[in-house]
Amino acid sequence: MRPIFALVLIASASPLVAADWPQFKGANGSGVSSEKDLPVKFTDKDGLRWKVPLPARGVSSPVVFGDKVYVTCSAGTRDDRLQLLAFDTATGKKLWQRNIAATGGTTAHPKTCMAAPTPVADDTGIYALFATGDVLACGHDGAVLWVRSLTGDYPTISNQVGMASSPVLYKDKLIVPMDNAGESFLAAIDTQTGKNLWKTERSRDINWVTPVIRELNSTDAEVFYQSQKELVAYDAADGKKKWSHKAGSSSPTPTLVEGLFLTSSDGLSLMKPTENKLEDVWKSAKYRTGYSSPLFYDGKIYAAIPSTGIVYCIDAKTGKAVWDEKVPGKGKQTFSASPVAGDGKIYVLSESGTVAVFKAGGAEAELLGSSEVGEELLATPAISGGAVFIRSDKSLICMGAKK
Amino acid sequence: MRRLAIPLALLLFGTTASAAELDTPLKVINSVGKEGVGNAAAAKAWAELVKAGPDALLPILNAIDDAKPTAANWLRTAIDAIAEKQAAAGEKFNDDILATFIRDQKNSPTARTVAFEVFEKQDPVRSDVFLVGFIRDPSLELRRKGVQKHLTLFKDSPSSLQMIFEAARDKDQVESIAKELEKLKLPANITKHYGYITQWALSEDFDNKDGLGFGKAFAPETAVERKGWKAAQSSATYGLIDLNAAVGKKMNAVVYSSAILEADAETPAEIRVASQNAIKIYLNGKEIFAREEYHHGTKMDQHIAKVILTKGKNSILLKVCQNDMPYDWAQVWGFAARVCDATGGSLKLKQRVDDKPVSLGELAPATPKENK
Repeated sequence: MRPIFALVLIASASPLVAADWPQFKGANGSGVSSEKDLPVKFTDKDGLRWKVPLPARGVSSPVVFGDKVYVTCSAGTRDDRLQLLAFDTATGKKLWQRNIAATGGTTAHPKTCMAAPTPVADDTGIYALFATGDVLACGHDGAVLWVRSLTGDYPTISNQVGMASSPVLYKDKLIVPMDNAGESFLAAIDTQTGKNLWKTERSRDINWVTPVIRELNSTDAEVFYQSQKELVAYDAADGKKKWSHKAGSSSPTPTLVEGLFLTSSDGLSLMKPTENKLEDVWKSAKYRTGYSSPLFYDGKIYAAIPSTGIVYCIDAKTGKAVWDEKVPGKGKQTFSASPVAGDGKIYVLSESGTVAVFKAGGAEAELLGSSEVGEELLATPAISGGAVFIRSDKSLICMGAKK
Repeated sequence: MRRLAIPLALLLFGTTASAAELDTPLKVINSVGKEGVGNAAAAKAWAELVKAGPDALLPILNAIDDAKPTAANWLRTAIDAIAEKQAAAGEKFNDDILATFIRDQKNSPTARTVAFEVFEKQDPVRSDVFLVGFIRDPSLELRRKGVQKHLTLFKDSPSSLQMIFEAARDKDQVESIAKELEKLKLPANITKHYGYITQWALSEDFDNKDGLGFGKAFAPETAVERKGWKAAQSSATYGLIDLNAAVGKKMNAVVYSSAILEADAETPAEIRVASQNAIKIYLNGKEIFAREEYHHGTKMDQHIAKVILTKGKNSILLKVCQNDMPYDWAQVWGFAARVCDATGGSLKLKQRVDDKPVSLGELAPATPKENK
């Protein structure tokens, strides 16, 4: 690999804006925050900055941009009332809420709902895609920038299991993944106008993976979009397919960090992207993370295994487990949320409501703290401003010192 | 008199002047097109509406009446923003304007629902009075509230319970009321309530290897004759026809299901289908709906086709395709279909069975037999 190319890859792995957590799994989906002094546990009386009720369910993650935390919800008997909400990160005060009606179908597996894709933010605004194919773009003050009905535009769009892939941002482009049983595509929508900049046809297969941006230099980037069949690298400028690699996964989202590509497909695989392919570093069928995406943090990989309730710390160089530990709580724990990290801590959320915090690395597992929310936790948390933002099926919780 | 005249004028005309000024931004929003066309202008128009404040409420609600779904979403969010500004300023919208708009069922169900939600938030006590009147509302959200209110007030009255059952549309409410009626030994036929088609004629099976049968027009799509087709009758509450049981378990297969409905007059209707399989719906020989999706889940009314039934006989044909996925959960092959009004309520339609007219959902279970 050319040195400059390698440097660019490393640079692209670092969070874009340290304090923000602008998309699913944070900056470029790394799952890693540069924040310090992060909390390890909370109770109703201690370590809880605030907790506010949400108007409806959602399995999308909170995202944080500036002094606001955003969530989406879907409500109604038919799950057809779509909501985007903004809260103040310091107080939990609701700042605004925008409501739209679903224009696409709302059939989905009961575990998910129409508020499954995580919104994405940058300094131009907050962009929310719903599983109905509706997209709502708002300024940070709640002013509506544009509205799209992708199902209205492309009527055969349908995933009756429930769509959950999240959009990502690259410069002035909202990259929208839309793999489904009908017209499937990856599209770049102009963040200013809401019009398509490009739209690239894809195979008609359902998929829940969120794309990853691979910045090659200050002007060029690739969009990595993985599906059950393969990983395809698209030119972010025009959506043209550049290359592909037989590395299939339709559920956990891969991570591009420290110049390496971590994916979960029949276990974990770590690969090194070159200019037009992926080279295997190692793979292991042992670590099957289900819906939860694996985490790459400080030379180690963390995988929450839903079938056993165990979290693994894995040496990124060898793929060998360094330690494994059961997540505390009543009964066997299982996971939908992806582990996230910051300040030398690994945050693992179980579906039954446990927030377990492990010390990153080390020769043995060290549980730093454990808290019980008492509500279902399916969404991946966000880290920002010295706090961890947790979204349950009923509440938005800010775990951290009061401001 | 003068003191009365001012609020009356406000009530009747308070927004008239603003409505004229807001005409342009409303038109801009209502002209947003496909693939984001018109969004940039709509964002400016949206800001104008929000800036106009409470005076824009009624014009926006009226505009929702005519709006396409994307434009309606633009307009709905403008009301959100105005309502937030009102609440922050400690002010309320004019209750009377809201009440008048909500009462008028000529306004669209969507706009009336939005209006009621604003009303409910700012005046929970006065808005509660409206709930009883929502029992047969064309808005499903308002009707649900009406049903709930009636249940709270009249659940101990058997005759009221029967009326509430007839008015209810949401499955959870319908099932809950049906249970109460059953306890009272009163009839509660959910199948008939929803207008499920329980009597079908099934074709022989056709090839669907590699999913190609979905797009191929086999003979039943063009032929009117249904001679030799096999009768299948559903005894399931929600009208399920299990094709594995009715025609035998097959992979890569297509079966057509036919039903003839009779309408007394030309009737706007919805054909609603639930299926785990790829589906096409035809009415009187014309394809009106297609969804090529296999084994991704099902729920009541997952596919909806809006139609106009002609006076007399109407031929409904479903094309139900099975693929060859080997998993246990992919062995389901079947469908349920009903014909109803826009609220999901049954229509006065008949099926001709053994040459006798029978209301939808009224048939007793029977064993499959040849359709002679």
